[in-house]
Amino acid sequence: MFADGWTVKYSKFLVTFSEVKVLDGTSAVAALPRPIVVNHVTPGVKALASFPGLETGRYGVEYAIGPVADALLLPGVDAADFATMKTNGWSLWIVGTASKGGVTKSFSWGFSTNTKLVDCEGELNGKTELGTVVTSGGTDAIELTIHGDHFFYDDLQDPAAKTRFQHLADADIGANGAAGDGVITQEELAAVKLVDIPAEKGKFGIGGASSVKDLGAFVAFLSRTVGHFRGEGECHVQIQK
Amino acid sequence: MTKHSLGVALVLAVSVAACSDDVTSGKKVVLATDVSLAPASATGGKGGAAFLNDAGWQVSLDKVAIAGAALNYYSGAPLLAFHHAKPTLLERLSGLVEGTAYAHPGHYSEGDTLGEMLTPFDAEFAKGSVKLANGTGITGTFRSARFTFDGTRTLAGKAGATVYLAGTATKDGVTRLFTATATQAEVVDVENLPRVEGCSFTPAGGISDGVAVTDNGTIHLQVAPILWLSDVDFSDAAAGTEPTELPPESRARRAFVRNLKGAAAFQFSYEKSSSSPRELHSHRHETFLPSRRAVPYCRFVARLLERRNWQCLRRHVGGRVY
Repeated sequence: MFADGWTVKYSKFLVTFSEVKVLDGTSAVAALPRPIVVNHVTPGVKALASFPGLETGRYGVEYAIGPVADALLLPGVDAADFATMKTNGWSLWIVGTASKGGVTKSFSWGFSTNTKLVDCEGELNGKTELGTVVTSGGTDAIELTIHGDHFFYDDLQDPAAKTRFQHLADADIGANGAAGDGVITQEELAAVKLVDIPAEKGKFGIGGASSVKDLGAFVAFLSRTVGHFRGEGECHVQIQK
Repeated sequence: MTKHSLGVALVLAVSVAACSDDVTSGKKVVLATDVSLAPASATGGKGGAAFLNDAGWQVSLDKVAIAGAALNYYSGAPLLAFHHAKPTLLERLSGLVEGTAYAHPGHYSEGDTLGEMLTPFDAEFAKGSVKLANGTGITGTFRSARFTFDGTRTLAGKAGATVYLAGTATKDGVTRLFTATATQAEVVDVENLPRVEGCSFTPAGGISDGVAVTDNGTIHLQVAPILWLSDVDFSDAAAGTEPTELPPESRARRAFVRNLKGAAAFQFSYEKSSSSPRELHSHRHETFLPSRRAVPYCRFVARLLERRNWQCLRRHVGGRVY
């Protein structure tokens, strides 16, 4: 449950993993041969690839979440859904409902962002490790983790940012201020300027992100932050588009 | 045989990124400093002191003044993270390629401290570049910077102002003469500090992965007020023949104040000097830094001035830094 009492349930959470690489310095020693689309509504950890035969040593890990023309679809991803993503140039597509006190809102938001996540580091055996360390005869399972709650943070910079939905629900309004239809569109989000959100609903600070002026851009910016490493581990975010 | 496998998972969780406080050693350098407007050429002809903002107002600025307490330079990636080969200056200044240094909400990862200019200043630079005091640093790749506002100075007769703009806005035959002023309290970040972090360090006309500072030189700070006024609707400003301040609770002023927190308005670059190096000197700065900065700062100072780290730390218990 979010800080403002809303709960969100996804019915689709499609993510395109592209450019997954294991690096020795700046040179890739292993890479996904083909982008992979995953539906995270399907429970559990999904295997992406296995790279046997690496020399022992430390390797960097990076990956991208970006739109692609061709991909391997893991179980749970409909070909028709991927066709929709491809047509719209989306790398991420989330569909779901949010509920609070008998009110339900639905949403279907696609994002054409292309975000590269580099210099990933995460906790391994109680220590924060950059990338991965392959030991002699050993195996390291790397988890590329997607944080599904990030779309709903109420600040782009505040470490104490909370997940909320009320500001998004309020974007659903009909013509001339009439009641909304229960479906929150990205066009409706883009129509809400951050400067017009009353202070009592939150600051919706943008930190240094000067270009973020409306809720549509705010959520799109947050969509770039879903990619993580080994659970809570972090990667540097680079924007490719 | 070794094997390396990859998997993915969906989790719902939150954490906060930590900052690195390591210090990279390098050769000491003196860094002259100046501040100027980001030129019109950098914003597709819409920048400088005259531009068309997103609300359709043609704005001409007569005064652009800021009060600064410090400039700090770091090795960490800026909030603007470019990754395609040649983003234009317009893209940079319009923030089209902004990113976060780390994925969770939180302050950006500044990395190593590489330099600073700690002499407070106020500067009005609508008509041209203004020289600031010299700063110091060590050689290395400067990737990002922090601008700290100073609320103790007077801009255009307004005590405590940190930013002051004056100009004319015209749209559909309507003209507004305006001033826009912000105080230190209005420009604080999420940690309640009057600063803008994660500003970009980029080579002139270029991009990408920071600037190699190799010797004494000049740090150029270019400020883009077009970004502060980008979505300001001057309809909120009072009509009249004398400039008036944007009304306190107006949407126009709220937009202006929000925009002051954007990193894209502060662009840093470096120009290598051909002049002979000057001696570094130490002097007391009555400056307070957050206590979490004292240790890395002292490591930096110790290397810079070839002093012992403990001598610095002894002075700074509680966060006071000389």
